[in-house]
Amino acid sequence: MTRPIVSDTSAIYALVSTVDDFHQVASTTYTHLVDERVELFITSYILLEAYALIQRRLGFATLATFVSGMQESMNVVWIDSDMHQETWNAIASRDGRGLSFVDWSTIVVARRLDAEIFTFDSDFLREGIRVIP
Amino acid sequence: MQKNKRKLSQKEKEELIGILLNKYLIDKDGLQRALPELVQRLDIIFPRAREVENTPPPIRLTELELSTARTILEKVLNALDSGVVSKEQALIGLESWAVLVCGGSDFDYLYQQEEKLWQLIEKATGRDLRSRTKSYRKTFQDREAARPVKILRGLTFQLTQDMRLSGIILDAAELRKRQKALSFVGIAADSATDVAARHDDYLFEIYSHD
Repeated sequence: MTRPIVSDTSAIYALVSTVDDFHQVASTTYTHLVDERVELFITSYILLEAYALIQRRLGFATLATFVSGMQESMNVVWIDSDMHQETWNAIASRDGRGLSFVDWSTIVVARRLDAEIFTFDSDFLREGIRVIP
Repeated sequence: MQKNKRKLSQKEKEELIGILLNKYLIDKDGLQRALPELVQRLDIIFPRAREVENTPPPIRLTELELSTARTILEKVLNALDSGVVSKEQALIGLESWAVLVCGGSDFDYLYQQEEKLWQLIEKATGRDLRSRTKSYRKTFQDREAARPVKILRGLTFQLTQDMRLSGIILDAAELRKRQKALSFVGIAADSATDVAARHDDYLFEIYSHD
């Protein structure tokens, strides 16, 4: 059985930008997930990063199209105070080394959902997190 | 505390159910801690679709069968590029497509050729199914359907026992959802190719200019 998937910023950007180094593999992976109706999630913190990158680098029209399409395919996990605190505990226990706070929040959500992370950030692998592709 | 005896409207009930289901979906553990009886009931009422889906057992195809299907499909697609594909050739191409989907190892190639899939279907059925708002079913005479093969979300081929195409089924609503979900893929081109990999650096750049 396919596990749920949580997307991180790298995957989102690779999907949107056609010239990105990871665009081809990202779009094939995502299309397959959509076709298989795998449960897809994105966190509010990832949305914040993705919105900033897409709006600034690709324009608001692109952002609006992303938001509209994303709402069809992904469930938004709104990071609450519990999750935020759990994220802080994780990063603090490592003295801030390695992954960013947003990355850790994605891990927290993925663990709660028993999900894998859709990412092109190899740092997740070093933490022993299950990732795709 | 005074009891509020006002009856909930249908809309209010639906909103409350929506909130509960959303919580169930994204934070089942949290809901389990607060309302274990509710989670137990929801597990029964809403089993995940994929757990109850009736999918036929996978077909075991030999490498020879798969490579033959690849060769045939490639020839048909080349002919399509030249604009000389008959209805019969289109059907053969679609059969090969379905065989490769069953094989499960050619997704990358097939996704890249998706535009041609729809062109082949149009040759075979005389209709452009992508823009249809109503569902559609086409059966090919004298061929008994033995196995459904999901080509992509919203589009299923029926194959006979000997892997001939016996029908095409379009679920227009599912296809619309797929198209919406994919609507943002590849819609823009950045000037840099490494933004996904180095998004933290690019975010820093954005924020430092604010």
